[in-house]
Amino acid sequence: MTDEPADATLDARLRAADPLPDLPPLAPERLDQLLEDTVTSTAAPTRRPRALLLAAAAAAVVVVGGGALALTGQDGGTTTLALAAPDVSASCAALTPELLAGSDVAFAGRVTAISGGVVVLETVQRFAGEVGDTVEVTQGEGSVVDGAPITFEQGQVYLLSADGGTIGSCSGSGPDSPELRTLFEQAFGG
Amino acid sequence: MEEFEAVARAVVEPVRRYLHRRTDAATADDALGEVLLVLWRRAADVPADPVPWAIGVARLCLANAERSRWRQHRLAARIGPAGPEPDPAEDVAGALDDAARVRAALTQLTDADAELLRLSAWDGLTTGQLAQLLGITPNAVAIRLHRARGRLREAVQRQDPEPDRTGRGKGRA
Repeated sequence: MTDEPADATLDARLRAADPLPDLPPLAPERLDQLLEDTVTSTAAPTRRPRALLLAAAAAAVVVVGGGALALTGQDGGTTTLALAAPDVSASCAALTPELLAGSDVAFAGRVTAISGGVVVLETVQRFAGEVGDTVEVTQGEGSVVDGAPITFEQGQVYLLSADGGTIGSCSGSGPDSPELRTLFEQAFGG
Repeated sequence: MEEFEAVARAVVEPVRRYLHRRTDAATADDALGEVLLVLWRRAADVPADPVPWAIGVARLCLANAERSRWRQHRLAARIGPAGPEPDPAEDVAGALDDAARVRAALTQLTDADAELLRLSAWDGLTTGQLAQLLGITPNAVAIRLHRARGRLREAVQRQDPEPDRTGRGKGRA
């Protein structure tokens, strides 16, 4: 399988195709300057309230346009949600049950299909709001950085919360985990 | 502050190389500044291994830069998965010729496959780091890498019908 000599050869050819094998590192004084510029160009670290971030994310979704991006409500038992667009400069407030409790909808869903950028989940548990038996969500481009949309995987169960039809890019949604589940149960009374 | 400096010094070169491999020098410098700013503002969110996290931020910064460029309908040709301009001298040497073939083959793959292979082979991210960056399990990374390698191998063969190291000198010339 992966450790066949052919793979090693292919990896070696791939590494040899690196367009930038030896970029010289930044000069120490240039790096010092860059770090200094960074910490002086802005106020001390700030945290934006999650609600604001969600509003910004929702606005971004509208601007991006096209596709199934808005909450279309339930239609034949299907709820359609969108993932918030990436907002890397935003800092998410620490997720608390109180913040989470403000979500319009919250549910646990298992991914049953992923195709053409649309993820279909089967609802396995409802925490809040009107949630259809199936939920369609637009697939995100993966990264674990806060502010990046979730990348869904087939068969995996996710805990998801949404405001205004948009799944926020802060940590109020993610793969089912004991930590997130505890927050959901505290927020919505299990 | 000291925490930020330690993290910034640990990630600055991997992030710079990541960016310079994928875009022109000016865009790479801008994006590096943005990444450092995010690291500074969000020091509390940086995980134990900051490299995949910082590359994830760089990736989004680059995507945003590309999007705004695309919107402005300018400079579009300067950015793209092909990376920096290849050295014109490279056609001279056979080994570098192969590198050009492999890069051409990469462009035949889906963006996700090609980027996974670049992150692994060029940026040197481990399976664990790729898992952190992509938010998937190491097992899923291994499977995706295996499939992407298979597709790359096919694409390379389409670029060059003669398989590497074999087939040459066979048959009648």
